[in-house]
Amino acid sequence: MQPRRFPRICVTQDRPWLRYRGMLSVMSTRDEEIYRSCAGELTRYATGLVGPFDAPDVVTDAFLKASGSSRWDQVDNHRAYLYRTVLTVAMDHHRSSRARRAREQRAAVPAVAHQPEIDYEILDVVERLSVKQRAAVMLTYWSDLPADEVGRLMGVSEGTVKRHLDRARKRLKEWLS
Amino acid sequence: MSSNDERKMRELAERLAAMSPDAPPFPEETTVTSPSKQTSTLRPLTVFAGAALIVLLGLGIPLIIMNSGEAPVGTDTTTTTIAGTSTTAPETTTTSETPDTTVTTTPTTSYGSVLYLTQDPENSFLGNPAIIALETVVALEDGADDLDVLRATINMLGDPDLVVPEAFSNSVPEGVEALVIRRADGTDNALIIEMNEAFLDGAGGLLADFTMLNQLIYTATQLPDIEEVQFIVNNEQVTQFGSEGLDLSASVNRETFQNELNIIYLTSPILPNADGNIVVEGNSNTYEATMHARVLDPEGNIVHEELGTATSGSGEWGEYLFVLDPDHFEDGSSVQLLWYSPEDGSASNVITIPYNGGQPWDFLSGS
Repeated sequence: MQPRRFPRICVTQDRPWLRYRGMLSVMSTRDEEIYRSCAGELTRYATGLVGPFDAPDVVTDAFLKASGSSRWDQVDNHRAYLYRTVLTVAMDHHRSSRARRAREQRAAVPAVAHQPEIDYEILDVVERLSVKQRAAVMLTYWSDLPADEVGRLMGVSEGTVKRHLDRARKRLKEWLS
Repeated sequence: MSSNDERKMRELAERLAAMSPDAPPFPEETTVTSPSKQTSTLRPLTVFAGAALIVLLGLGIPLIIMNSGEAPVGTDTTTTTIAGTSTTAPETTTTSETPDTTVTTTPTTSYGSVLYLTQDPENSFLGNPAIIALETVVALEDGADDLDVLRATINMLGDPDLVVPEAFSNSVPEGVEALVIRRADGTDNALIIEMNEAFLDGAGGLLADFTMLNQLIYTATQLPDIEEVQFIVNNEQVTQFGSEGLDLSASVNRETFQNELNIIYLTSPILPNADGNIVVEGNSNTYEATMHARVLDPEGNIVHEELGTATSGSGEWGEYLFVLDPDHFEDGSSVQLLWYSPEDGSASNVITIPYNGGQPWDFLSGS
């Protein structure tokens, strides 16, 4: 039986987990450029998914999660990866009852520095849709993307995108009429 | 689909997008760092409200969450750590069964990993333990993957040879072992961990059971892309765990039992960053999100103290981050984390973590 030996690590720079530690100095300039290039569109997308009050949090969380992933450095299309992560984070966010309570509180007293006028009618309407249906609607009708591209950004097939849109229309039947 | 439907769907998307606020700043700009050299003053008018909030924080919220049977869910905390390859240490075993000595070399690699032990805080109203992240290494054969490293790390917790430093505790009983770890089908952020039957007994008492689970969950979710785990035993979901028969049939994550922890704890090992500054990072839920970090010399004297603000507080868990000047540290220094009670100004929920000089802890050989 071999004796247990645990040689110590002495090379601080060779600690990959530092990358995930609060986005410290290890955050690269490249990451910042990626973020700045698509933060605006991601925020609009997130607004469609979770509403205007939570959208900035979702975008920030998504970026931290995506750039903290072990796959981040191997990703070819960071924008598409971020879109998928925003959707994932939005779904988690939507499920969180605590987040819902926080949303309600923030809705009562908007605390966002720059907040366009809130369209409560449309927020009520979109509440009828699942987060994935909202994603399909936003990417199809706001970003004007074809179904295959929408599917790529959502991480689903083109057929699934069409199903989401079809179900969304059914849930919005009353409003559409 | 009619053109009217098409037009209305487009209107819906446009009206939603029109409500979009400005994009949040680059996350680095919003990272909460500790403003240095601030004093621990609290506004007098907030003292009474603070005391009320302490009661709410300490009793109300955990009870509500426990009674509703709903796992507390917070914002994603991606302050996780990962296991990674570090140095290679060939080990040599010499066998001398015959006069012709045969030398067999088994190459092993030391993999960096994080073990989560606990510490009982000082001056804590609830007495919940704090999770403490400590860097360690595990030696495995070359070619081990992340899950191999993770399993070895989890199994250190139940290893009879584990030597827990005096400052810390371990609620995982001896003999508890992860047999198999695999990624859950259909997800990219969940693990299924098959534990041995000793796991089912828990740690003897409800709080100890929660602490044991938190240690296992935090250790298991240190891979950056893993957010939740499901424990199984004998290939079946766990519906009766520990002394109170906790139902663990659903996946659990770092937030599931978070309210059973001290309101200040450490999610990442205390280590120098690339600039040489000492980084202290974790979660807290203190009044007005304020808390303090102290650097203690080997005799326990305070040589430095900073005020910091977490991302949330007063009933909501937030993330805190202190970046401390390495000049405050010497061999044998410790980092102390605490908040000051608005009621009487006393240092509360104090945890003290020995700084290991930026070196990993060696728990199995006791050094």
